[in-house]
Amino acid sequence: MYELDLSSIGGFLVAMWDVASGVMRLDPEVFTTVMNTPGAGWIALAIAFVAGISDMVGQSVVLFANRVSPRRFWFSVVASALVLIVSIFFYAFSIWLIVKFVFFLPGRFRIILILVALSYAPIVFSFASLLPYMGNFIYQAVRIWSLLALVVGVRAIAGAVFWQGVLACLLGWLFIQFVVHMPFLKIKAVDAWLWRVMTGTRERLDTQMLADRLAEQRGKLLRGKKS
Amino acid sequence: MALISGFFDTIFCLLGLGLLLFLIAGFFAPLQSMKWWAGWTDHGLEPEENTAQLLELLPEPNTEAEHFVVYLTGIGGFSGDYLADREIEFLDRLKNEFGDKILLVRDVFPFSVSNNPLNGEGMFKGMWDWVHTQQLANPMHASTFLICARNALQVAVSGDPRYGPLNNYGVAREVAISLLRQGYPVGSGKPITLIGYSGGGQISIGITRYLHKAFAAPVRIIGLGGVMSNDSGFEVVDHLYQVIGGKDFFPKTGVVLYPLRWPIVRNSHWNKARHEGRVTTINPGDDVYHVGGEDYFSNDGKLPNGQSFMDKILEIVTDILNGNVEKYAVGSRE
Repeated sequence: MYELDLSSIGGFLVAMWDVASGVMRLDPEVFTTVMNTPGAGWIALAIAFVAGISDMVGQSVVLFANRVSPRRFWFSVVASALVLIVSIFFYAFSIWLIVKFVFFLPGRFRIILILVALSYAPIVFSFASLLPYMGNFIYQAVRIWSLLALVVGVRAIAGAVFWQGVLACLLGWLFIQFVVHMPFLKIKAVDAWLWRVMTGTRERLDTQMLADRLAEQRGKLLRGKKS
Repeated sequence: MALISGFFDTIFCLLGLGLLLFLIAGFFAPLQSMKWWAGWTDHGLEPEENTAQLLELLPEPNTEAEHFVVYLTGIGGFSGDYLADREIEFLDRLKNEFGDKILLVRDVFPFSVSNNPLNGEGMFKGMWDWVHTQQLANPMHASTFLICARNALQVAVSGDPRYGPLNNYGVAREVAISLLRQGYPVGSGKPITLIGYSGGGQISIGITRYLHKAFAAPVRIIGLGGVMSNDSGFEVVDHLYQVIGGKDFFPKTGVVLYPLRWPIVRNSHWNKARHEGRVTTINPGDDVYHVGGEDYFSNDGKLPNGQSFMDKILEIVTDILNGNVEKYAVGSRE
């Protein structure tokens, strides 16, 4: 049984902890409690925000590799968490469209949004993917965990139409992928623009490319000087 | 009964605490090289102008040397200045074997991107000073476990495709500077030989790619019980001679821990090098172990013919440097 006290900041933080740990334990009751508590949607979004920060910290090698300053580093971490919240909105909206216009079921956008945001709770541990060697496994594991949380959430709120709910999540994801890859929407350009704004660097390069490029440059310089 | 139970509780508590500290250290392990690359540290990656200035200060090329050998120590290493006595003896004898014909680099600390010793900076400087004092007094002192744990994490950083390129570039840069300071003739295309002991094996394969790009020269590796991941360095390494003692199971950890080294993944960097015949495994003796009294540098450990393990390793390395490798290729090519 979850008692969510949202009347103070301390209560909100305790509620966040209770809800996040409930989702991580894959407890269906936590989903229904949040859905039925007025104002608890903010808890779901706050959890997703923390998950976004943790996820970016876990993948921060890309920021270090592209030599962002410490100030830009933290700005990028927070900004990417906000971008994650926006992407959750889009995902929830696409699921709502599928529920409404493919399955003709009475789905409410607010419920779907909370469900999707809550399912990101296991991503709170994504910072652990910083670990060398094990990090890659952790990165995948928290995503699988998050997917399981989504399925448990669907089961908790969809009841008799569970399979339609799971299918709606899958189709919603496919729909997002389809939209993202529409050439005229120029999502890649938007992504590149976001990167430039967040990091202050021109383009996102991977570590292998950066190290290769530098070694080649220095090698040419070296051989040019001595020849 | 309560005493025994309390004893085990304490043991498990300490083990748990140790594991937790190791995990915390793991989170910070990649940050050293990442912060260095990003320019967040005092001795970060230098701009190109400084490289040009450095080149002006280099000595005349050493035209007499035929062998350019870099020794990279194992995870017991503390700094570029410190090597265990048995390693020093091995390298001195190798130097005596070839005289002026060999240029031997032994001052690069493989587990730091900037050749910074463990006690070089940071809030743990005092702790590392103390550990090193113990290490100098007794190389097998229990506290040296901290050095091994810290350096093992750096081996994991080097072998991780996310962090490895930046970390390995940094170490390759230090090796390149040391080679140049000792007179490696740039543009000569003379082969560079890396001898990597234990965790130094991973660093060797990690830096191969960048040394190859910088010097446009072939790079070969002699791994002494070397632990290696499926590093992209296998794409360019001229040849890997992996010397593995009969009782040394440490190199196998690389095979177990990195699935891309499993034979089933035919297109991995490692398997391509194997199929192209660029990997040779040499067994120096059935009783040779990774560390301790019967390791690769042991004078006490003897082969059935009476030859010491140290002499055998010296013979193998000398043969490889002199190109007498056919006898090792028979039946041992991977």
